[in-house]
Amino acid sequence: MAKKNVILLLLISGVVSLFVMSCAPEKREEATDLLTDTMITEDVGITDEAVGEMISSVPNPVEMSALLQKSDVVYSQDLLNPDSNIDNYNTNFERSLNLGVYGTDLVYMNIYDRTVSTLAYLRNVKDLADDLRIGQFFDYETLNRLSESSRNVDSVLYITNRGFDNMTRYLIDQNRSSIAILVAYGTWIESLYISTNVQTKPPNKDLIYQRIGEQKIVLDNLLLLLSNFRNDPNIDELFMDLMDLKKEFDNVSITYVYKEPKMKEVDGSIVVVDKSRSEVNINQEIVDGIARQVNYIRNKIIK
Amino acid sequence: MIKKFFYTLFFASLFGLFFSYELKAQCGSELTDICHAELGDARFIRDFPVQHSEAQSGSSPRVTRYNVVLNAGTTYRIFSCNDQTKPGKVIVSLYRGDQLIATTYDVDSGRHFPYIEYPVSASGQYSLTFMFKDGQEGCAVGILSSVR
Repeated sequence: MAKKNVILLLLISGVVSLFVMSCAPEKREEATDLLTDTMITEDVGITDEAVGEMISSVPNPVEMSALLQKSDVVYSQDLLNPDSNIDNYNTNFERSLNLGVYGTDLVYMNIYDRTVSTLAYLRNVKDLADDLRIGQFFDYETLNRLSESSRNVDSVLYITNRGFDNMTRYLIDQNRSSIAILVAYGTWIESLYISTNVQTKPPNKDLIYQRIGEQKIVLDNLLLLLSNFRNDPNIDELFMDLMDLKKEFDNVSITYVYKEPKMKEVDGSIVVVDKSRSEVNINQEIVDGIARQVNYIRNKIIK
Repeated sequence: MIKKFFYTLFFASLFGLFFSYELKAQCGSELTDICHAELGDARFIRDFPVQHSEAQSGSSPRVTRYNVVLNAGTTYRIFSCNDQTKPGKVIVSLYRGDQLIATTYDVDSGRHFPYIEYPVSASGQYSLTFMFKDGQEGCAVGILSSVR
């Protein structure tokens, strides 16, 4: 009798497993390149610590999107990478870059309270991350549930950003820094693409242009980072594209006046009083030049 | 009697499981979650987890450094939270180049502060350093956030 029950149980388990497997989302194609296994940091003469230190200087897209929203810039869905484009990304190289692109789009949509429309983008982030074997950092179910209400924007942004941070650290720890760098590259280019293509108007236009000009500092860091990975022809091409972008950013000048900062205690915490200042010299013509090159790079990434 | 024994064993196991989870939970993503709850109205930008083993006697405490680009016109808050199960208390310092801007530890009074608030007036590259006082073993997280 007991033996019969065991056989029955096994049969039921088998049927249930088959049912569950048949209901699972369609499996995406395997990557056609070996990027994850061929680019290890030991080969490129840069320590994991240094990679982590430099990647952390690539701004989180929350900052740029929040500035746009605060400056009353109108939301533009047309600027985002269409969610259907995901089917075009068949290599780890393309998937890494576009994970950064879709991640930035997701942040942009959330900052503008477009939480309900984010589902397709959320799915894309999860799918690309799964393809790259880093899907464990994106809790799709929780994010999906939270996205049902715009009251949860902060939680969605927190979970998304923390996921990207954890993913970056994991990739670096696993000697897969090139993937982390490509995600950061995609993130930064998409953020710059959105900010140089939105419709801006005075008086906040100048503030946004200044922020665009300040990306010169980030560009220098990215170039330094990529220069260590140029033995990969794909990364070398990205590096050369950034060198062309650098020619446009060379027209931006940033001047600094540094003063001695002071610390004071306010309500049990430290508040810094700093009279230093920076001035970014940038104009419409320079922004247009930057936008042209950014559009070129971004269109190559998302094609 | 036996029933009572098994009940005790069951609840003791549950307690043990919970307690061991709490110990483990302190260091890592869970610590970031705990620290995130401290942000109030500030918006999370990035977290910096740090875990150091005890420094060898006679050697300098280990320092972990992260570069960040801060933008003029934004007020940042840099929080730090410690794993209470470890002896070390983190000291977070903010630098512009070699210039110390602020630190969460006051050497004179021996006080630790929970966060640094910095209204940035000069955009540029800054760095955050993390070390544990007296090179003790520690686990902590720093959170960079912006005030809305």
